[in-house]
Amino acid sequence: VLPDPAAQPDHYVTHHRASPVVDVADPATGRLADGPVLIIVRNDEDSDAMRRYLKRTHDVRFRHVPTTRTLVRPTPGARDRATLARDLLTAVGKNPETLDDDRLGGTVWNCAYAWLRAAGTTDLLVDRAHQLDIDRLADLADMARWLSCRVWLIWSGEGELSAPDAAGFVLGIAAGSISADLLPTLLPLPAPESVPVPWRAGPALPAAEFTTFRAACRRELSDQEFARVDQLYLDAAHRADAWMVEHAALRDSGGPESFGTELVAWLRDVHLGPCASADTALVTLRATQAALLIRGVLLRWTPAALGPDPADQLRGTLRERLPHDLYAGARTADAAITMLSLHLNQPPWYFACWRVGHVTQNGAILCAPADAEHHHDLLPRYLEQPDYRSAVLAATGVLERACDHAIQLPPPAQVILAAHHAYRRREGAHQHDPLFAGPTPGEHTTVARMRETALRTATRRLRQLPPWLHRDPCRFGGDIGGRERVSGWLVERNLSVHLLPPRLAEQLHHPLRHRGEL
Amino acid sequence: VTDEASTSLLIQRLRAAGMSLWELGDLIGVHPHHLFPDNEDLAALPVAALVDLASRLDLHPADLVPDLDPDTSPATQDKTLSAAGTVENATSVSTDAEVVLTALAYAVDPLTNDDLAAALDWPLARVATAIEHAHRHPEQAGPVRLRRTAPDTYTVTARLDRLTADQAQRLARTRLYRHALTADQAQLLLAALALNNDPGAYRSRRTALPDAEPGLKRAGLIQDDNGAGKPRVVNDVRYSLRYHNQPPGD
Repeated sequence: VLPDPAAQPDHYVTHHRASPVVDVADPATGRLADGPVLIIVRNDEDSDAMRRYLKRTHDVRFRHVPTTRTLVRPTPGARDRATLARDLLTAVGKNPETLDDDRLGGTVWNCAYAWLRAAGTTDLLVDRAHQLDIDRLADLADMARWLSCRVWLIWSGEGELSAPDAAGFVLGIAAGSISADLLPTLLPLPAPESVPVPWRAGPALPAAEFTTFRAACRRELSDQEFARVDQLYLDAAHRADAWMVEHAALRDSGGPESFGTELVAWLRDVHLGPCASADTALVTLRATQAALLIRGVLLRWTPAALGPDPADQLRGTLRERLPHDLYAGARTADAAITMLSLHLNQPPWYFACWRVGHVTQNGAILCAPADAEHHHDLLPRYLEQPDYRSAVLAATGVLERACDHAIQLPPPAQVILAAHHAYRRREGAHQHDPLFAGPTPGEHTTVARMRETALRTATRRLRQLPPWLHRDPCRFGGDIGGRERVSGWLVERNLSVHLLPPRLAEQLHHPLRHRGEL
Repeated sequence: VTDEASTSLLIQRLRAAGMSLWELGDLIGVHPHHLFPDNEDLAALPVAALVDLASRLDLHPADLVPDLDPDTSPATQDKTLSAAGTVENATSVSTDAEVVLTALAYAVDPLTNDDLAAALDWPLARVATAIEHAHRHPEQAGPVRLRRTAPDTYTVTARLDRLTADQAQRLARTRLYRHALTADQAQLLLAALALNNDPGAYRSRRTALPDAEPGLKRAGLIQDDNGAGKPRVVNDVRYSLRYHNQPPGD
């Protein structure tokens, strides 16, 4: 068992021998040593070249955030671990101005670890590492061990050169040394990030219902515009065809609830939610409606109450700046709960059903619990009331319980769930422990607390107050006329699912088969 | 809700429009929380939403957010006059005619002179003079026209001399196309596609869903001229559902 540096008295590493020396790179192949490893970069001259290299490494124009290569600039003169952790958080892209608001307290080091882990950190560069005392070097060695990464200590001054060796030795971390001029060769600067293509507004699309949408497009758009729109339409319809082939049996045997749950998850995470623009979303929806109708499913859309640009409401909520604004906060649970609530467009009901093991390590997928307990004691009472259930079913046809189906998150949001997963594991949680824990270890947090967290984060960090996050009773309509407002992904888009008699669909030839193309 | 001068205008107009904050919020696409008159969030609304809000309530945006441009706001220019005061002080027949036309547009249903006199709290003679003036000066009504639907009963409808027949037809079609299918209509449309060779089966479906077929016909999605149970699904629909590769003609 490796010693925990936090439990050791200060200066505990000073009396140990140096750690084993390692070749930083294979002389033949140039391949870098695998982590964990501490590498002293001898920058005795404190050169301008190194300064420029580090500046370019950290330049936001040349890197994605989060990135696997992180440059941390320790606060000069600070000797405590918390300050180093805050420097690490700033380095991974957290807003240093709001770190105080997050009130991380004793969890700050674990938070830093979690976000570095979620970013898939392979190289941690520490500027002016010679100014760190030996205990902070030991902390960095500990971080290298947990992340299994390379820690590059830019040694630009006097400092005790044997200190990193000693710091690494206690934890069994190998150490090496290179001269500063080798660093750009071993760790080349990343290529400039490609400039995103500016969004180009497409033609104004017809507002026709799906039954006549394609014909209206043919009539209203130019040949060139129509060719582009029709390709999108046919592609989306084919994808919907393929999905229906897979799920036709579920429609017939599973009933409206199971089928609707599958359909919502597919539309939200795969087919409609990730659309890049409102136009794409509208064409995709219309094609999907047309493809589903001939398979006996009516996906009804009533855009009247969706404001001036209803098609834009069809896309997923986690888009544009929103995931990045969420990422700027340091508390993993706050960001993850808010992110999931926004993605599902509902309060954090049923979030207590998830356990740590339900999250994939990269945060891309949150699996559905096989034996969800639902924790009825944690839920608002009205959720299970017949009138509330019937109100939801009348509005959309699907209950949309968060834990009923796996959730596939959009790429910019995945790092948030990955960070929370890493945080919980770092706290010592096992696979079967709650994903969102209460103040008492092993216990679930309550719905009220999660909702408060999501509400606070959405209001303060995102400057948004989604209607489904209102406290109840709510002056502004978390309840309407004494009745709770229904919420969900379908509700927010005014979509509803209706199953038509299956015999009709069976009697109808598929259009492609009808024309001999299938 | 407070009755302060700065907030009452929004509430007055909201009540006049017969809407709740929730309905207004839905129309504009913002949460009603942001529309609450004593809430500073009104100033934080996107410009498009603010302009839409002002337009829906026939206000200038500066009436909602005074910082925008107080000097050009119609409300601030006329703020010394109440709504009633405006009417009382405006004595010209032309203004009276404008008020009558607005009242008729507001009421939607036709109104008699008596109704107008009672609603506007005017003498009957004043209403008659205003109606007479509106008849003699049709240009005053802009895109609508004063129509007599019964003796001494009036309404306003769109003028008929500005749109071509094709434009009017396409407008009607757009309105119908936008109407989302109900589940019953979808079922009958599916039946019309699937049971084209089995009129008996189609007729039994039609009987089970009595309201569906008229809706589909009004929307122009099916045609069944002789009522024999063999409706024809129009080419626009067949093309959109991919049963045709050839686009329908105009």
